[in-house]
This record gives sequence, C-alpha cells and structure tokens, in this order.
Amino acid sequence: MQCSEFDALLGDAIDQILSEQQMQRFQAHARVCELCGPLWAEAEQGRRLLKSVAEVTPPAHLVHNILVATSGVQTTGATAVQPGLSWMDRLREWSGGLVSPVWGVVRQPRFAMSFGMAFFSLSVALSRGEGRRHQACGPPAERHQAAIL
Amino acid sequence: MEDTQVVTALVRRCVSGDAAAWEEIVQRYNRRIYNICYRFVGTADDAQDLTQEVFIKMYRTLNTYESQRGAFTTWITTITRNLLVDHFRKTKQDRVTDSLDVAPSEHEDAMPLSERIADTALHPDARVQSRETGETVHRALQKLSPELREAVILRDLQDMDYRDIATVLKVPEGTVKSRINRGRAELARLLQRTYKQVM
Repeated sequence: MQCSEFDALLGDAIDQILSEQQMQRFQAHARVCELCGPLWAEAEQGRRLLKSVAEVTPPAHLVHNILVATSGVQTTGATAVQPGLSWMDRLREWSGGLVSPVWGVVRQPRFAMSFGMAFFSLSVALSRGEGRRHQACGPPAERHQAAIL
Repeated sequence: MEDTQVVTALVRRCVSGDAAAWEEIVQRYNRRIYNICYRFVGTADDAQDLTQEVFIKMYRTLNTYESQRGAFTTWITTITRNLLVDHFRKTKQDRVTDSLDVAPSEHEDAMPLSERIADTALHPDARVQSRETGETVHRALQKLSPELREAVILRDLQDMDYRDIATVLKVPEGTVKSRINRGRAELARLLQRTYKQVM
C-alpha cells in the first residue's frame, strides 16, 4: 500500500468501515511507515477529542433577534424581554416591536424617497392651511373691513 | 436527519409569506448554525452576529432553494460556510500568535490551560476527559487553518457525511477526507505539545 492510498482510507479506518482485507493491508502499512503510523494514531486521538466537545446553547435572545432582523415579527413563544429590565426599557422594547416593521420598510431606499416627498407635501399643505387661518384670524376690525371691500 | 417533506413544506409556506413557517425554520436550525459559527470564529459575540447574518441571507434567498438539488441542511450549511469565509478574510485572524491561555469562552466554566494541567492530582487521561477538555479543544481549533478547521467541524461536530461536506466546501471528496485527517492529527499534536510544555 502506498501512503496516498493509506491517506485515502484513513477516515474509513477510523470509522471502522474497512473490509477485513483492506484493514490488514492498512495496518501492515502503518507498521512499516514512519509517517503513516503516527498519522493514524494522531488522527484517531484528534477525532476522540473533537467528539468530546459538547454542543453549546445559543444566547437566549438569538431567535428573537433573528426574527426582528428578518421578518420583523417577534417570537410567538416565550417572552423576548430580558428579566431585570426597567419599565422604560420594557416600554422601549414593546414599542420597538410596533415601530421596527414600519421603520424597516421606511429605511429601504425605494420607499425612503416616497416617504420623504409625502412628508414634504404634508408640511407644505399644513403651512398653507396655517397661513389662511392666520388671515381669517386677523383682528376683528380688519376682517370686517375686508368683508365690506 | 431532517424530514425532507416537512422541511420542503415549511420552505414553501415561508416563500408564500407565512411568518410562522419562517419562525419554525429559525427555531429548528439556529442551534446548528450557531454551533458551526461558534466553533469556527471562536467567540460567542461573533458567532451571534454571524448567525444572524446567515439567517438574513437565508431569508432573502429562500426562494432559490430547490429540494431536488440537495438537503436543506446542506444548503444552509453552504450559506454559513461562505459567510464564515468572508468574515475570516475581512478579519484576517492571526491564529499563530494567540495563546491558549487567552480569556475563556463565555459558554463554559473555563480556566487557563496551564491551571488545568497543573492539577497533578488527576491522571492525564482523566484530565483529558474532564469537562474543561471541550474548552481546550475549542481553543486549539482556532489554531487550525480555516480549511482544516471547517472540515473537522462539519465532520466531527456536525456529523455530516463526506459527500455533503464536499458539496458545501466545493472540493472533491478525497480532498475533504485528506483535510479531515490532517485537521484531526494537527489538533492532537497541538494539544500534546501544549501539555508537554507545561509539564
């Protein structure tokens, strides 16, 4: 057996899925090769070490943060509010759930211009309305005179 | 092993705009994605940010997933891996100069490696088997090159088969096996060297 074939079979040998004949040839090569023999031992040890590593638990708010960042919808399950928050922080978090979907849309470039123009138009309309009211709301004598004329 | 029909139905509902279906997908896969990210980048904060990016990318491209091309797990792992590679290139981690005694991870009750090894009351095998082994191995993983690290994470931590790993990494199966062998061996050598230095 050549070292290249040994390397190709190493994973299967560690997984113990080689045939008996393959395993005999594999072991025979490991006995005589000063590179492949140690490589086998180290690879097996490395695999044992990796298998001893436990899965970690993601942070408690990860799902909530993902949902807010994607669909803008809060979790339908357990509360997303961290224990120990002040009433102000809770209010902020609650209102964020209402505002953030809208804000998420507004921030998109294609909608930002539309919202900006709408806001500008509304401002102009309101200021014109204010002007007319000021005219009508002038001193009573001036209004009377204006009406006569 | 995912239930293909269930996941395919979930994806279909999600693409149609079903928010509950999307939430279920997030609930199902966040742990897996987070673990891949955490083992690759090394810190909980980066893992959390990257996991979020993965799901954002997934959300935007969910309509491109085709079940006949492969398992959903393979698809999301590919997205994860690509983002991890991008992150690595941007941050250019210097794994060579990092000491194995740097600040412990947020996830386990860790002590610096030297303190753990100095506990001579324990037999070496028992030390290896102690609960701090996970933290030690986690830090040693950060010392591997990205190519070897991602290969051993997908095989030995995520139990993916060689064919799916080859799909994710876009390399032949032979290359996958070779990287896994080298990754495992280098990890063992790293930890052996560290134990010998302290003793």
